[in-house]
Amino acid sequence: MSRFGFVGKRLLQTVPLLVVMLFVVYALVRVAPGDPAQTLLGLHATPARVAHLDKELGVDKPLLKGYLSYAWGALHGDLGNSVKAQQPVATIISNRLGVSVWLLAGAMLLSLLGAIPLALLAALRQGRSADHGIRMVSVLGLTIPTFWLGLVLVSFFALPTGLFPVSGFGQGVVGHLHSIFLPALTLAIGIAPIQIRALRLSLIGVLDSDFIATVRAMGLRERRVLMRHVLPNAVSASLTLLAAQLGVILFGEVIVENTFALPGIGQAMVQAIIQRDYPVVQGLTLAAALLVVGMNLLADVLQVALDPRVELR
Amino acid sequence: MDGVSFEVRGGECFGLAGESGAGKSLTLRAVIGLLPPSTSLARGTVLLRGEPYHARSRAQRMGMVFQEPKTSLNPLMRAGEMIREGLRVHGVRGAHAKRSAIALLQEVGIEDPELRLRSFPHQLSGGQRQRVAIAMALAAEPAVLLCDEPTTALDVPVQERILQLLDRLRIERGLAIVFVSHDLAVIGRIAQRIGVMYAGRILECGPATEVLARPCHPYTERLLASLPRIDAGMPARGILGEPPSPGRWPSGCRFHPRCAHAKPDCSQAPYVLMDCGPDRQSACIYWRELELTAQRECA
Repeated sequence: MSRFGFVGKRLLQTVPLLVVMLFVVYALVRVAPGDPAQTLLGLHATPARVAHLDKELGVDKPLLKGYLSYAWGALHGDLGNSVKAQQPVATIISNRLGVSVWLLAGAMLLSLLGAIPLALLAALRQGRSADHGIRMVSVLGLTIPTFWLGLVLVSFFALPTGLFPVSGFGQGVVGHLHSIFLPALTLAIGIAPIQIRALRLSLIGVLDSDFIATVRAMGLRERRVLMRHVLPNAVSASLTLLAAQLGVILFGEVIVENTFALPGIGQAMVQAIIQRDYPVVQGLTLAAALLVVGMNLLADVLQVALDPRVELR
Repeated sequence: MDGVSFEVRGGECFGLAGESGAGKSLTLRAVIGLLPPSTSLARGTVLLRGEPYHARSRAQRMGMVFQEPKTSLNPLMRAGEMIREGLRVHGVRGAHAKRSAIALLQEVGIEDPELRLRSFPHQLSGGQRQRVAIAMALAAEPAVLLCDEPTTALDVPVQERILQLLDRLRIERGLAIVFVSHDLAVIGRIAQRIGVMYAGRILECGPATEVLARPCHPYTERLLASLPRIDAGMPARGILGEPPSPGRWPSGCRFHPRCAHAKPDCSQAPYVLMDCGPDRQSACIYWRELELTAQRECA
């Protein structure tokens, strides 16, 4: 199968996933306890208003019919209207998705910037004090709760030094980078330990392999051996893990965006849940799920680009 | 390993034979300075053209070819890129490197070298991979080529062609080859001089034809007798018992617990290689008294 055929196949495989995903998102409102419209409008609302809102939320229809009309709308970019903000859900998402993607990319980049050198060091010094030290620091990073770390960074670093903003998304690329640095760091500290562990393991495997001994024996400089031969092999083996971590990052974003008052989908999600703004909750869940699916697809494409053997699998 | 010492001359192939776990591969890795991290302290010197050889020295190089062609090439790199990595070491780059890479592939007998430059390892057959691995090792212009069972994973016709290739390279390039194998038939076919290893020591060494025709150590005799033969009516005889595990070597001659000729003082025998003929040594203290026979005719 050609490489493009492979990507096409993966793309097709996501279709049933999207169908199920949409159903889960839609059913969210239907299985939530109590009548959504009644909950939204309060106990003293008139039956007429409740019925009107029921109709708007699509919960007056039978489950399957409601799902189909929701899916049809979603396909056309219509995710309904926010009950509280009087705004189309699609507009809310498009206003906020960018912030979350910036944060996602920043967290991934920062974590890899830390994880790759540390994993390399641990693998090269396997079983020695550097390896044990990195392991201990990783466990620490893994056990620190994201919400706590975010608060600590705000109150003991950002606020006293004034070096980083503690709310908002800033202006322009520099402003964005400036304001996402601390939240991205918070997320990166949470995910880097897993990356370090996984990368260390695949690095050890690669370092031990015959072809590394071959290129070392040839007299290649160690730096070139590591950069050209060891790392590409180890990283391509860990790509799937990195893709799987995106879901974890997205979950972390819900917390971190609230800590750092970043106007992303995580912050909107919490607001919408508190306000029982069901269409917004649905839309944001859908957006997050799509993001994860898209990123996994991207990881697959990257894997194909990196590893010539993938086309055979 | 203990007191392993051998020399190999330019244009000569030295064969290192012995059972699995005798320390053959470890010897090669020690020579090239790539001992696995789990091994304890290693001491020794490697002289290349009379000068001390340092692992990864830029001036003097050794090439290495491994047993398993599946793992000896970087799976993410095309054959041409891998060969160019070797060429880089002595500063050959660009268009010149491409020409050299094609010439090397031709030299190792790859058909259609220009096309194969762009092949990934998984697109090559086992024999082709081994040829590319040899080309890669040659690209760095080594004085010595270390081969760790390079033919073991290949089927017999391919095996023979790789041996022919190594033979040709040895003669044409004046390459010194150290060839490790458990297969005495292969060793007898390729090597001019051989060393027989057991439990981390060389027990016997000398010219290949001599050693295989008239072994001077009971272990060599047993190893020869264990070769399966088609022509003889009798089955191959194995060696009784298991080879000892590293760190739990028997005292004295390490082969004595499994040796049919063992005498009481074998367990106190010091490890010394004694001359037992022109250019031949044996570590057996009774080599003179024993009437050892080569059960197998070796060319």
